[in-house]
Amino acid sequence: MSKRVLIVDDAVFMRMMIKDILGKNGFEVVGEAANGALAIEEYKKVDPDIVTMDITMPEMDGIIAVKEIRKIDPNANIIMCSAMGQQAMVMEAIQAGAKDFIVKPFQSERVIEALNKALG
Amino acid sequence: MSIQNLTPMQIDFLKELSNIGGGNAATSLSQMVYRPIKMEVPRVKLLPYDKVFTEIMGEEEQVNAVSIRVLGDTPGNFLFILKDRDTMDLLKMIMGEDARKDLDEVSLSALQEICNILCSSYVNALSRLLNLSIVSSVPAYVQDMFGAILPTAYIEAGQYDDYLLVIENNFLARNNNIKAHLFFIPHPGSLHKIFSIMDI
Repeated sequence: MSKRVLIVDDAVFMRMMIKDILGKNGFEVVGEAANGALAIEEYKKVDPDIVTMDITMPEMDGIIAVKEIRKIDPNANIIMCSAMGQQAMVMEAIQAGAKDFIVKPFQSERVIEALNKALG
Repeated sequence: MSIQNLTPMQIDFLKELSNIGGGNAATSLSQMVYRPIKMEVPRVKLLPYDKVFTEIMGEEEQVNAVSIRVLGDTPGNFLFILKDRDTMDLLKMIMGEDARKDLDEVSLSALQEICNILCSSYVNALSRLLNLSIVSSVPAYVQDMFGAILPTAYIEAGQYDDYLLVIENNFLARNNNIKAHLFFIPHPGSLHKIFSIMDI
């Protein structure tokens, strides 16, 4: 059965791009959210196998959203997908509970590899 | 193409382009200063000329600016802008005890190098994203009022409209006490090329 993914990114374009990559590689995109606060609501609603999470977003950033989602579901699989690749930011995301960190711009293979690794 | 006819999808893409360029730029700057550099959500907005000075910064604000030209497949300009106090604080962060009280030759060189690193990372990221050849020129420093500097950069980039297409990243350092602005000002023809490549 294909794995169910929630995509969180404030840019419609980036959500479409990730959706396209995932669709071509056998994943099912079950939800999308444009900021951290909406991501929490969507996570409760669709209960995905894995989440791709941007960091720089309006309303609530991705790192706070990871912490909040992990409070609801301590086993949540979340991988960060952000252009903010500096070490302090990566560490903060991992400490918040993210399983991996993809730096934008990315290649589609890197996204698939990260998702498969996080899903074990 | 007229910048006033941009579609919501094109604006959205420019936001993501600014997010990717600016995010990579922040990473490089943080490596240079050994400290975290934060970035606000990028501002991509079509603003009437006079609104620029109420929404972004006052026309008469004295600023230090470094401009860099974007060359190659998508020409345009970058403008890096700091208020006086932020300039000195940023230089202190980079140069430590060696920082001067005034903007002397060494300080100006450091400021231009910061801009060089930011813009090179930005264009490298765009180049990878768009699969284009994009490079940046050497930096040039100027000190003047915000209202004199910004319009000049837009005119240089071929944007003469009553509206300005603002593509702005704000970088924050030292507990958000230092704020630096980076404006990406593509030529109208570059925008057309970018949108054609992305098929939007």
